[in-house]
Formats: sequence, C-alpha cells, structure tokens
Amino acid sequence: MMNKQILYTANSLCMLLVCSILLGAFYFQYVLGEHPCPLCLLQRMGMLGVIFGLTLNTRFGFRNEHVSVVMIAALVGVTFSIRQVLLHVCPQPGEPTGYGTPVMGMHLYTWGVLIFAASILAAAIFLLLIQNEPADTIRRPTLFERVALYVGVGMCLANTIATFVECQLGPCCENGPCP
Amino acid sequence: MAFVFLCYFVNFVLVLKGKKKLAYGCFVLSTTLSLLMFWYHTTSSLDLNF
Repeated sequence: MMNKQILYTANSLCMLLVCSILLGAFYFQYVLGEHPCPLCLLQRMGMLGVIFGLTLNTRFGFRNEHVSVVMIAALVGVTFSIRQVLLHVCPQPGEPTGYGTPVMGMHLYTWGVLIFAASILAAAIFLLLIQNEPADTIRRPTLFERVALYVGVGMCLANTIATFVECQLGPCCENGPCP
Repeated sequence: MAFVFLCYFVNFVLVLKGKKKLAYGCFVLSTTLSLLMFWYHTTSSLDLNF
C-alpha cells in the first residue's frame, strides 16, 4: 500500500489540475473575449463536481464514496461534453468547424471529454490504492492541501460571480442573459 | 445558471464547515439541477444548443 500522504498530495494535485483547466476557460472568456457557450458552462459544473469529490477526500479522508462522487460528476460532465462534440462533429458546408478557438487542434469541449475520461481513470486508480478512513474522520490538511482546497473553492466562487454577471440567475444565450 | 453554480459553491462551504451529509445532499441537488438545465438546453425553443 502506498504512503498515505503521497496519495493525499496526488489528490490535491488532481484538484489543482482541474482548477487550471477552469482557469484556462476564464482566459478564453476574458482575455480572448469568447463568451462561454451554454453547454460549456454545464461542463464547468461537471469539473466543479470532480473538484468537490476530491475536496471530500482532503477534508474527511479517503473513502470509496468520495471517489464515487468524482466518478458521478465526471460522468455527468462527459455527457455534456459528448453532446457538444456530436453537435459539431459534422459541420455544414461553409460554416466554421466546431465552436470557439481550438487548442492544440482540439476544441475545448473535445478536451472536456478527455479531461472527464482522465478523471474517471484517476478515480479508478485511487480506488485501487486507498484504504477507507473511519466514517467520522475530519482531517487536518497540510498547507499544500489547504491551498489546493481554497483554490478549488475560489474557482467555484469565481464561476458563480462570472455567470451571474453574464446571465444573472437564468439560462445563458449567445451574448448574455436570454430574453 | 448562476444559481446552479451557487449550489456547487454551497457544497464547498458545507465541506469546509465539516457537514458531510448536508454536502452530499447539496451535491445531489446541484447535480440534478445541472442535468435538468441540460435537458432544458436540448429542448428549449431558445437557441441554447451550442
């Protein structure tokens, strides 16, 4: 069995990795001026769900049900991503291929499929390596884990505020709130 | 949309406060809301399906 602390550090690294993807989405939104599409916002929710599952591990110790939260959130997220891939997989003649600017040849929603698939794979690997902590455990995370945890909370708050500014509480249309 | 994000944010706050069962409940709520929003996107007459 691997050293427990290595696994908690790996858990926090996964959290920061997903946060960096959400940060990249903000780069597209605010630096490149690309408004997030409605399905993109839903995919961000899937990523926040993945971060939430990892946060449970940091705060309450490793347990199978925390990892299953990661898997459920990733499955929900990949549903949104695959939907968007299928919408754009066969472009009409004269129309641009895909939605938004591609990164390394793939659009963000295609990256989304890979990220959620990687999350499910990582969760499966965690299930192989972890030992369940008692149900009532409340951990005292290390400084690095605390930083990762608060970055995750910060990303969630930033997305909440950004979406409220863009679309208020209702659904988002192409350039802001729906009429 | 911002309301669903707010639900996710409440998840995190509950985890920080150590309220695990409430956090699970809130996770179920926020995931259900995001799936309902997805369903609304695919069926709405508004142009949301992109």
